Amino acid sequence: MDIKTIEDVALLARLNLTPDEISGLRGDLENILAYADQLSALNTEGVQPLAHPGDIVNALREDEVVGSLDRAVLQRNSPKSDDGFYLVPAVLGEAKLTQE
Amino acid sequence: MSLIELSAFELVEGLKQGQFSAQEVNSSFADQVDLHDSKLKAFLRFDRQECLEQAAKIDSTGSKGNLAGIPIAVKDVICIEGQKTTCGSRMLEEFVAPYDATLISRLRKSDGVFLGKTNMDEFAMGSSTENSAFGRSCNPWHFGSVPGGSSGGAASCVAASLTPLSIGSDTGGSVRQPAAFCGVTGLKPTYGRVSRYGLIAFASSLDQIGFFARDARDVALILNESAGHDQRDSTSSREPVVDYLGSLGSDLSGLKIGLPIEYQSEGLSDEIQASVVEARRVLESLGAEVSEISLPMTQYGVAAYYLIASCEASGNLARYDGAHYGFRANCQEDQKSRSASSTPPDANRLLEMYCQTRSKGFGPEVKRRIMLGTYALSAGYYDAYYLQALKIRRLIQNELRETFTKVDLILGPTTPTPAYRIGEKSKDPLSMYLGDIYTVVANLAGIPAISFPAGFSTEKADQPAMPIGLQLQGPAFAEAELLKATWAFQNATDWHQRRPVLDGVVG
Repeated sequence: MDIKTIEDVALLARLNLTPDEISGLRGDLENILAYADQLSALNTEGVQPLAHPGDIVNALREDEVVGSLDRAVLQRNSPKSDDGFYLVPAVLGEAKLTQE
Repeated sequence: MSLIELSAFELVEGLKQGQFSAQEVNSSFADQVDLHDSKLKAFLRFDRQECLEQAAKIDSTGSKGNLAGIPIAVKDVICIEGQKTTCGSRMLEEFVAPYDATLISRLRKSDGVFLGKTNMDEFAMGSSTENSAFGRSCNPWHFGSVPGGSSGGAASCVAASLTPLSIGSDTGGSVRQPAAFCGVTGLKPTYGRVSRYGLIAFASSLDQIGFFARDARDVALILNESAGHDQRDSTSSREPVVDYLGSLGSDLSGLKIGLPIEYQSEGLSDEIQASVVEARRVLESLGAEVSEISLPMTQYGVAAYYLIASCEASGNLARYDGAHYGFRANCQEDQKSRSASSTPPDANRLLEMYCQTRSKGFGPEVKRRIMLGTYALSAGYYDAYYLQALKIRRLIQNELRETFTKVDLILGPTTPTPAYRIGEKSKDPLSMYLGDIYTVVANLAGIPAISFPAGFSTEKADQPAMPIGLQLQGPAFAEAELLKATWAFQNATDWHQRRPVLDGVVG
């Protein structure tokens, strides 16, 4: 596993990694994947993948109007919110951040 | 006799008969927390005042719930309305749960008293509680050894008599392994038996809430109040709930127990193997028929588990984006110190905010699993890793279903070794993962499993005698059979009654 691969995966996972973290992860992931390679030795042709251990399907319920959680209470946990909106850094153009 | 020496079942009886009050019970356990938790560090948050107020209310209203006045400690992965729920992570350090988990609502109706929130590996990822962002917890039998994990605090506080009952979560063994390390009884119910609404997700097809107590009767007591369908958890089962307490008994005549030959693998400590042999003898003396069986697929459990769990975690933890709740990195300050970033320099600041937040909010093990999962799900590797792991999961479940047509329960070790010393495995993730070899299979297959005390290791130069736990696994929804067999074993042995000596004070 090369450093470029680690960096690409880190971007997909939305992580910034330091050079030390990258070299540590490279060794760890190589070890773990080498161990996991024993799975490839098994013939699984025709085996249905099992994503969920239960036998239940399509949990249905009556279509009833019920209360929902209070927005103001939920937004108390937000790092930055204002008047019901979640605030994040600007995503369009070159606009400066107004809230930070 | 001190109240902290009584089991939850005995406390319920005593409270009903008016031998003592809920306030007396709770202040006894609160005293024990005050006395020992500064060293044990089982609790992340403990509020004596709040706990005694709940108890006073129960005394004054004469509450008749089945757990009226019984202290319950809760792993900090389960939401209690208005209380911090951190998951052992900086990411949720300031998170205040806006609602009760369904399990908490049910236990409130049963008049249980919530004693506090217990320490854990960050996002339940780990087997030693060394991955908590808020410091390690200790094993009450030896403060230099780990309590196991990820529910290490919840196991430790039952072992040290800080509470008679506690709640944990088990994704790959996180209830059973710390139960074994701390010398208590720990049940992982069938997937879907207990609602996961309000349990912070790690790997959704594997996660299940479980319980710690001294003995199987206490586990049956709290499971009776907890099990059942919940509309808010679409994976919770509609299978009828049985009376687990009423199912207990001491006669195991006709019970068929299988002993997998693969579980006597290299790496299993001789002392634990000896405990398996001794437990077999005890169970046979109670009427059970024990025979050797073969489970060849189980050797692939750890590899399949770590791929599947990490893939699911990488998706579940994508929600921690610094926008809706939890920690957000201060990006402007961070711009200058950015080094070797995987983010292109022209990326927008929202992306930068996400990346900085997640890099600073998550600890090393969580990052490792997110990276492993993201890699295994990425184009070109999906079939080889994730899909192949899911196919092997099917083969493991098939093998167990076939086995349960021949035997009722499976007996084996919970862990390959007793609790190890703090720091002994924290630098080698794979060696820690391999410690989960006997527990992950039950999560992959969705079946119930229980760990119970069954012996002690011999004293070593750097470690006193440590508890040994054994595991019984059963087919889906066989909790009653697991609890009955464990309770029968506990009636014939006294391993579960041994308590650690804390600072010379016998707890």
